[in-house]
Amino acid sequence: FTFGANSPNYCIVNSSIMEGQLESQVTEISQTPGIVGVICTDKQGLSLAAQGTLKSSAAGIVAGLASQANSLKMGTGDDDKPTVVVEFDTGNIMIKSQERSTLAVHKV
Amino acid sequence: INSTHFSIDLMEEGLQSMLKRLLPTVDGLQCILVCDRDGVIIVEVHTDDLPPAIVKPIFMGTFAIASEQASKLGVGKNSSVISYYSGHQVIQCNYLPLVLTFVAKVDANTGMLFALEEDLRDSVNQLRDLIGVS
Repeated sequence: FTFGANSPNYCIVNSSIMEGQLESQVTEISQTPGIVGVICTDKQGLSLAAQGTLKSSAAGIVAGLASQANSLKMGTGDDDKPTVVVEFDTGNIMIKSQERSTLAVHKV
Repeated sequence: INSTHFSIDLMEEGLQSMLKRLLPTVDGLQCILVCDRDGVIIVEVHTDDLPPAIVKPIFMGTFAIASEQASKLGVGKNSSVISYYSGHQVIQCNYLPLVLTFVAKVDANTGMLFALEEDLRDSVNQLRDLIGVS
């Protein structure tokens, strides 16, 4: 599907390719007002999808931060993983991990 | 020539202490080493729990061959090879004639190891240039 061809956020996502569904979800998130970067990583810190200000090179650090925060084990169970918020003067990066992946969003 | 050799000794000591300082920064990282294309180790740091059988010239020396072959796939020069084994992962980075190698547990953060490689890039390039001079 395409977003308005004349809009500055124009992009084409081919949902028939293997990672199409993930790419379309990441694109949808990145088009939310205020969101300037999105990255999805696996448990090994390798980038699955990255858009905007969050580049693939940040994947390891994003996954590492989530893993280190989770090691505090302050949650009520294995499924209760913390949300890490990294604050900058210009915005925040929010990192949330699930069982096999980690998602980070850069919001200004 | 004498001053170059002196610089190499200084460089190696500086690099070794840098590697020793960086080794504990990634969970599961067990070894960082720099070797030549034949697997001869130039600088190495490792934790006590590293199985000695992993760091062998015959194992390290295969990267140069594999990297040169991988560079012929038509997508550009090969920069690194990640190998996952049942208990360990090995990341080898192309600085030919030097090879920068990380050995870590299989569940270690591979992305963080690549971030570490960026921190070491300038130092390994300097070592490569020094060795090239001598």
